[in-house]
Amino acid sequence: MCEMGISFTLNGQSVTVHADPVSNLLDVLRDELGLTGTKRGCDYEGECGACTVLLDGQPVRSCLTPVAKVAGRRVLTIEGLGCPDDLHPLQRAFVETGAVQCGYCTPGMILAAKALLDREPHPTREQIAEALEGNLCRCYRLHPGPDGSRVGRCTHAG
Amino acid sequence: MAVELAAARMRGERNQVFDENPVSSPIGGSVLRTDAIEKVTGRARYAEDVTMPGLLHASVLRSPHPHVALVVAHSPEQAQAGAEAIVARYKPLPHTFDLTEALEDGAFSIYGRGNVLADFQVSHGDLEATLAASDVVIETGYRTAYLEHAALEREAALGYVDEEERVMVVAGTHEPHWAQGYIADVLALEPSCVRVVVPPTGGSFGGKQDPWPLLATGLMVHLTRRPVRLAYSRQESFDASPKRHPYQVNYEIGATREGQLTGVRVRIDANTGGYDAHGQYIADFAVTASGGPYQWQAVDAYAQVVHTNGPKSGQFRGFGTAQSAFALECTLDELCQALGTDPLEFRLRNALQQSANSFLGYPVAESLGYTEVLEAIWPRYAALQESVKAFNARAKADGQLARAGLGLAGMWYRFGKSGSLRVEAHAELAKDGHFVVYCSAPDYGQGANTAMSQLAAEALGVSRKHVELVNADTTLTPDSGIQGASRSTYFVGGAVRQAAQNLKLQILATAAELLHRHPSDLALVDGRVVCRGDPVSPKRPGPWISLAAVGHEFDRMGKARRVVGFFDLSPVFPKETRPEYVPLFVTGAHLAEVVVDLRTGEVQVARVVAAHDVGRAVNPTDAKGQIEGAVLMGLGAALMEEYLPGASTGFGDYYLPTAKSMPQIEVMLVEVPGQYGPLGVKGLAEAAMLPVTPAIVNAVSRAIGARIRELPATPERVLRQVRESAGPQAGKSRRQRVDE
Repeated sequence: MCEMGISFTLNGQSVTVHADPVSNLLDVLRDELGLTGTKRGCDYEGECGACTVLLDGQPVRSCLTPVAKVAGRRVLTIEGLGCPDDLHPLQRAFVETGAVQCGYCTPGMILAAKALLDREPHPTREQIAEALEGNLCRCYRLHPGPDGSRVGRCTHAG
Repeated sequence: MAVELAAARMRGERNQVFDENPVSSPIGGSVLRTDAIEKVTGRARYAEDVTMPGLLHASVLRSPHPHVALVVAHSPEQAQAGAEAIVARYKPLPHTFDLTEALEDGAFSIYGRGNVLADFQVSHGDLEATLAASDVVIETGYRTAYLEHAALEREAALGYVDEEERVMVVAGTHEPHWAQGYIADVLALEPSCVRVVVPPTGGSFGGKQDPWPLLATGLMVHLTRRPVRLAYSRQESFDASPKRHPYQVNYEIGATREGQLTGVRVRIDANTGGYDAHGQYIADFAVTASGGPYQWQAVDAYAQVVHTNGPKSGQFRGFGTAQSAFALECTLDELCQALGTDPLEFRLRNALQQSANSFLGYPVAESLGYTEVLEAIWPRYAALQESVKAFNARAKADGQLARAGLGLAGMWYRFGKSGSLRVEAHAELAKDGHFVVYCSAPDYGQGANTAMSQLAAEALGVSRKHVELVNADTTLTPDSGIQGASRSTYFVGGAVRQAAQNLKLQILATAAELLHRHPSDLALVDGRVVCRGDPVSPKRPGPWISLAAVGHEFDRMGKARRVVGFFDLSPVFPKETRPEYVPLFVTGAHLAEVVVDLRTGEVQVARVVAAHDVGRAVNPTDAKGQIEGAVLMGLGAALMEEYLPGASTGFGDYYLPTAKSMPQIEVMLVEVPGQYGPLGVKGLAEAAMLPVTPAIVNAVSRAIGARIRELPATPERVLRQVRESAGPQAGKSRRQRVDE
């Protein structure tokens, strides 16, 4: 295995990893750098979006990104977006609206949404659905529909 | 909605508040989940996220025949290479994937006996006479597919030898205590030498009930005495995890010409595949769900669960009920069409009342809110009927090749069905005066952690941040029975509540002695016990005592800080007369509005209205979330999901609904309080799936004027029905006898 020093900006800090340049960014982030917030949901085929990170602000599948490709560039993972005492508005909104169920798709989903909002501050529902289509979710809590819910109290005892 | 809310805030619109009326009581409001913050910041540690010094990686070599090989190595790549290096010689044996073949006389037998694993029957009344006397009798046949759970987290387990020399396995599972027992059996150890802990888990939907990954991990830890991680690839998850049972369901249902149901005959064949992954229990649920919340004069219902060499079928959200509910509610829709009756009026007319004999031959034991649910959905039904009519009139006038349809389906679902009627939880006063609750209700995304914390906080009278929850750890928590069958909030929540109340009584009794007051004069608030009605202010403090001080008094008196609570329904259902599964049911009804493209067969679900009797909405946001999640899963089963053994290997060939599939979803939480559950709650999580698929299929069938009888209703199948219904064979798809 050929290893190289690959330097890039990760969550605002300069880092250098020593890795095989064709190894994928997902494994480097999780195993070399200990950042396990980015998830693996499929078999390195880019099918599920759970591994989404931002590369120079654009959403990419880290499972399909050779780590050499990020040399000299900026990578943002979920850990770099905000922490419990200082949540990014997207993180806060996901928590408040109950959009987090099992949480496995959440990091990728939030970063894909961030990329959308950074380029389009007034997205339509269609644009949101389009931007998030590639982030599979099985708990299906995030919905672009209107919240037309009602709670009706019935006094029947049974 | 989360993205829209964030976008507004990021634009600087500072007045965006999600919940305009935040509720101060922990119950009934939209309370933040306990673990959501960990998940949105990437800090939640799922099984595959944890690393330990010396961690070994496991890889599995599988074959379609018995026996697998486990390879353990220093890195995932080495483990994979090890598995690939194994050369296995296979001798093909006779086999079949086909249920009908497996049932034939002289079929080879998979386990050395007939291929029927289990069956179940309900019959009462004189069905032959009843049907003969009916004005209308229809016969239908419906078929469903294997489904894959496809939770986003692949199965993963971390195992190691802990500081007490126990074999420890950390993995998502529905019942850690059962897993502990299985591992102990396999390894010939005492159960106390095995520990199972459920970490944050990325979804299950029934798939993670399979103990295999935990057993394999326990075995590898036991043999190597090293930490081991087993994580399935996505393809392994597709290949090896249990599936939803495919069903063939045949009905004969009779009615009077006024629309009164008379009798029902139903036959169900369920394909359980090569192994019993809880398939033996499915027959009962298949039959029970096949009758629905309706009044019947006579019933003859039978289901058999059959072994074939197909993939093992096991637990899947709804546990064998969704397939039956689909076939029933579609058959009832066909019956309404044969009678010329409105489907909502028909269901109201035939809705089961709690005191009456149910489909099972005895009354249900819990309040049944089906009439209330149907009445709640009525205004939306009427409005959507109009808009669908208008759409179709316009489409026909414009020559547009699209048709809209509105479908209705109801359901009943027996919740809490498996496990003990007596469930245990503990509550403890910690040294600094906060509370610790111990129970076993594994949370794999459905919100059990939050619900338990809320119920405890409410019972104690404190805010949730003073309650620490220890959940699903066989060494630390009592066995609260299996989590599943939507029983957590009802049973485990009931036990948590009781434990909290018991602890509160102990605290107030001791505080009463120290403050020289009667316990009924005292109240528990955050961090302290105070006198009711006394102002608590720095200038004029009424007598009060900190919870930490009460705790010290407990220690001085030798009084236990940790108390037990039980939720026990066994007195209500004495053993002598108790049916195998206590008849606690919830009901619901959905409307689906669809638009079908007649050129391609593609179906777009525009809107779903979901009304559910939840008893009491402990956490309405969570309840709505559960229902929305179920709607999307039911949509997938209706239109696109079909697991083909050997051919479906990942998300590239098994189609899941995405963000673009989402309809507008309106949720109505109807509260008909339960008699027994804590605060009147009932179970919800699985039930919400049942009406979705038939509502969508009924809508599609009405839109195209022809019946869809096989799931999923892919564009190809829809198109075939559109073409056939236009041809000379139209109208022959259903056998029907109508007496003039």
